[in-house]
Amino acid sequence: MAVMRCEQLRDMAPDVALGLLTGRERAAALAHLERCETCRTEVAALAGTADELLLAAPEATPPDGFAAGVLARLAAEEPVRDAPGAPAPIDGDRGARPSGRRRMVVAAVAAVVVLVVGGLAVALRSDGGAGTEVAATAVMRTGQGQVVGEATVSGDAPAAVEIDVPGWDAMVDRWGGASEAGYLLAVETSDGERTVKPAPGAGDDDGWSVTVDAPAGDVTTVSVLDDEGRVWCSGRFRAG
Amino acid sequence: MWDLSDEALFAGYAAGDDQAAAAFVRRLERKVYGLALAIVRDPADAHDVAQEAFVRAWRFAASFDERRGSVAAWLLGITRNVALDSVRGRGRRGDIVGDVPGEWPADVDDPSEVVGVRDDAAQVMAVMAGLPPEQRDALVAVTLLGLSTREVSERSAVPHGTVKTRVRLGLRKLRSEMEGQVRWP
Repeated sequence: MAVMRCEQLRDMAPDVALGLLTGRERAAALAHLERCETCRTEVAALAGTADELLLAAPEATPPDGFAAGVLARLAAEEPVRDAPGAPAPIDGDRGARPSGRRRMVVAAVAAVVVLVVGGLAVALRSDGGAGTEVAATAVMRTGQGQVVGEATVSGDAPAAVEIDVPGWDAMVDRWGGASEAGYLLAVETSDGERTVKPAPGAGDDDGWSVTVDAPAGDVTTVSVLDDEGRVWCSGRFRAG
Repeated sequence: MWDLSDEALFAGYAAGDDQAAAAFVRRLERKVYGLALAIVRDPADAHDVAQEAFVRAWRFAASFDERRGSVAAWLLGITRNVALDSVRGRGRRGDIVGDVPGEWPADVDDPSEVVGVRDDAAQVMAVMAGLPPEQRDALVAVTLLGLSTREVSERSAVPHGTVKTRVRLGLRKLRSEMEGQVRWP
């Protein structure tokens, strides 16, 4: 197979970006891209432009109930995505707290509730929950589906939600730094109530703990958001 | 919820946040369904294609990388692929070849007056409207309809080399213009 030079590749970069090459030409182009970052960048930029072109496609109103139909299909798919073979929780010991790894928040402080507002308390983790049976666990995922940790819920009114995110460093690296304004913890319960409270300041060797004035079985989801409302990771509880 | 960016809503959509999912679908359903309809030309098929596109976006959310483009463009790319598969599967590819949708918004005189479009889409339309028509048509046939340059050549009776040149020039010009106008993530 002839070796393709940068000048040749750049000449046909739009064809590569649009997937128009076939056969030997395509093979030669891909071989070149494999070893040339400059040309890879050029092709990626052109491919991005071609994708953005789709934003100018005509709009049309779908039939009534379209969104509900999509959501119903997602609900039906949920068990498939979480089935064995899907990304597993980072720590297979459900209910146990990973140790010796960096987690989202700092030091364990003995049983001090920092905030108790509107039925939701946000506390630095204490040992108070130790020994309490875990009612449900949630795999914490980023918006891209990457597993970054786990949350557990236990107890009855108040229920304690504990969040461990050992993948936090990787998230911060990927998304460009932590929010200086701090983070928010959002807990939803089955009656549709959603409570959002500031999380305790970031530290280096512990997880976040939140209590909510509801039975553990009623807690459905927990999310970590930044001050702009972006969801950094979230999880849906499943009885376990 | 409606103040959140597409990417923030998509994060919630992918994570199973019901409110975010509903908001995300409602925000982009007109674009997704519109593109599907432009390609498959049948409302019932377009409905199925659009739903499948949203489901695939959810299923493969982990593959979305916002450094490479907006989530809307990514979702529309999925929609195009599902729509083209649907057309090919029904043996109707010949129906669409060389038949660029007449309602392609780049044909409007003043894209800023297009009702209901968001800023980034209006900017793309404006840049598209500035391309020479033959370059724009060739580019739309390749990017929207998924045709090869040879197919465009055969259907339009324009030499293959000329079609390739038009596509290359059109895409390069589009990129050059958009770099200064579109808000890249």
